[in-house]
Amino acid sequence: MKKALKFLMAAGMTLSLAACSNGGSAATATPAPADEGSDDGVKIAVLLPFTGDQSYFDTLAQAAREVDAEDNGISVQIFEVDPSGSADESLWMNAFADVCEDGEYDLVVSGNNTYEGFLYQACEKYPDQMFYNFDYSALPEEGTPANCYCVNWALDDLGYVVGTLSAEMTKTGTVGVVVGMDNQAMNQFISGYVQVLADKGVKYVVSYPGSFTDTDLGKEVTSAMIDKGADVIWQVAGGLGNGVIEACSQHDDVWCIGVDQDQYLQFKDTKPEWANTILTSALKNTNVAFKAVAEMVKEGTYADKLGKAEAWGIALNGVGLAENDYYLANCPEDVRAAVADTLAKVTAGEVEVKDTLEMTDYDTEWPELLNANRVE
Amino acid sequence: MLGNIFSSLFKLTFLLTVLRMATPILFASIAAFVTASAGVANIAVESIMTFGALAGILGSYATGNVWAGVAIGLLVGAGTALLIAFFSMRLGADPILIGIALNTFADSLSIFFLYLATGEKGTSASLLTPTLGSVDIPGIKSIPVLGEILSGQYILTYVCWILLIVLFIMIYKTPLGMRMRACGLNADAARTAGINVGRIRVFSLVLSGLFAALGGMYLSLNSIHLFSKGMVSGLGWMGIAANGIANGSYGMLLLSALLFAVFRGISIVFSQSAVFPVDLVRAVPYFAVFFFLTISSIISYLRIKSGKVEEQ
Repeated sequence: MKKALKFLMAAGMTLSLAACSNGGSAATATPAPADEGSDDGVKIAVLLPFTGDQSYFDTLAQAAREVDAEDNGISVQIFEVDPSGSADESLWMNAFADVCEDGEYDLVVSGNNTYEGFLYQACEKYPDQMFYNFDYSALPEEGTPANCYCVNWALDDLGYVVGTLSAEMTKTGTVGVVVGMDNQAMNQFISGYVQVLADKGVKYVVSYPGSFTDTDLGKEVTSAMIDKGADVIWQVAGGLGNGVIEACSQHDDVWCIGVDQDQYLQFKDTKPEWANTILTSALKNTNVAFKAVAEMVKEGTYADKLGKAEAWGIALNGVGLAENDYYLANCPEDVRAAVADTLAKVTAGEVEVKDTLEMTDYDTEWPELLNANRVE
Repeated sequence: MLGNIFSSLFKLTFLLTVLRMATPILFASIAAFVTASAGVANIAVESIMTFGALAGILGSYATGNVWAGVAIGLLVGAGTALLIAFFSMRLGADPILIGIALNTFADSLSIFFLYLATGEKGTSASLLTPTLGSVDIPGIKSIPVLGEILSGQYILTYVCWILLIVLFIMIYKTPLGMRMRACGLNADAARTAGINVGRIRVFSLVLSGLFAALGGMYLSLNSIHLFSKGMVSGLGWMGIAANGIANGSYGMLLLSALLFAVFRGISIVFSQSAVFPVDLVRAVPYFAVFFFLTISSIISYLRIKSGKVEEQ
């Protein structure tokens, strides 16, 4: 009896602690916009698992806050649905029910490969609601839902541009990339990258540490790359990427290329030794597309996009390099000219960039491409 | 291809990598070992490392002095250990359950405090934080090979090596260590002999908290120079596994901790190879854990069966 009581108490403690961690988000999930109650403006709900990751989700959240702050008749509310990133179905479906059932919002935004399944379920459940998937990696089997516009990012093109820049910048003839996980969606980042490097005869090291958080491993993986002669290293590995930047910052002659947002700006003020190793960052401008979509909803033209799935590439400024002052000061003019030339060619469709998501036989095509000029 | 892999395993750089990566695992291992030798299980090593990592950074930022930051990290580590002691010894809860509770909420709680301090939930990059560096030892530095191993390591790596020796002397050569082991072997007998079992166990838990916090601070203050969400990533569990394999033997503890570091180093080589299936890369150190736990339990089973050791 006593033992059972103890067990219950401990279980209760665990639960209440877990509840604490969710409690924080419940508070932030209660929106309090200044113009609540007015029906005339456009209302957009953005459902994200969490914000504040200083990376992927924050790029969108920041755009949402900016659109909300502008005096343009659009109010945006961000809901942090799943702070622990558990992808728990009941959490997500309840959140969708909260925002969809009253028809209060003109547009409901969500997405990302981990969570888009819930979005598609909601699309089916609330056919009169308009949705926007800000980053899809797979569409439902029966095709794009008729009440949703899905976009993704021409990451293959982005990788092609990063590869061109790396090839131009390297002095040793070897470059490297750290990719958090080895899967088809992540490899879309580097398919164009390895393609252009192999074409140019530049050797590359590719590392899959298999984690997005293990920073110490990221640092050692990168040190091993630098030992193999890599002097321009791109990180596509979330939090583990902090270890990559740290390792690059310890070598004066090694450049790091950031990802998702302008990482030079992120570290410029408080970690100059990190910022000074980041030549540029490969941007995935979810903010640009979000702002365009919000504008379309306001203009009433969004309905034309429903049922479509589109890739936002270089032409739409969906992807690109961060051209901050540091990049302009440290990247020689002829290199920038070569990069600009590549950007133009890719935009014009003059080069055919390989894309893992479009490979019919990924399991044989991808290793062939990946290992073409790879250094082990 | 395979030749490349093997040749990179027999280089000095690989040895240096392993030595660096061993530090947090060694800290976690002695954290688990010191409580186990006094007869309490502390499975909250992973969470104390997380708290220590964050507290070290926030303390260093708040005071502007990295050593004050280390002191605050140590205090938080000891405080968390006292919390375990309070729940398990005063309130009589199972220390395993306390450990589970702590591990469950460590990541979320650390993010909560990070958010309070910085307004961000990913890293502490926005805080201007003094951090720890490496130490070059003048005379030894110039010796070939040995100089590279013994000099130029991180400060907390040296701290770790010194602690390993100090802890050995404390546990095996002092009356205090003997009492600790007595509590671990048979608490009732120890009590009969006049040892205050509760006090000894609290002491061992606090030591464990300090070691784990140092392991966390190695990551945040010494290696990466910032706190990044989820950065402990299972290193604490490797320490607990090393303790499980050691089964009370200090030599086995260090050996298994070093083996985990070696396998973590091997996983780096594998992560960059075209032949090794990368899906398994992250599993390599854990396969090693599984393998060695199996071996060690077979050995102890055989010893019990042959009657050399009495079953406990």
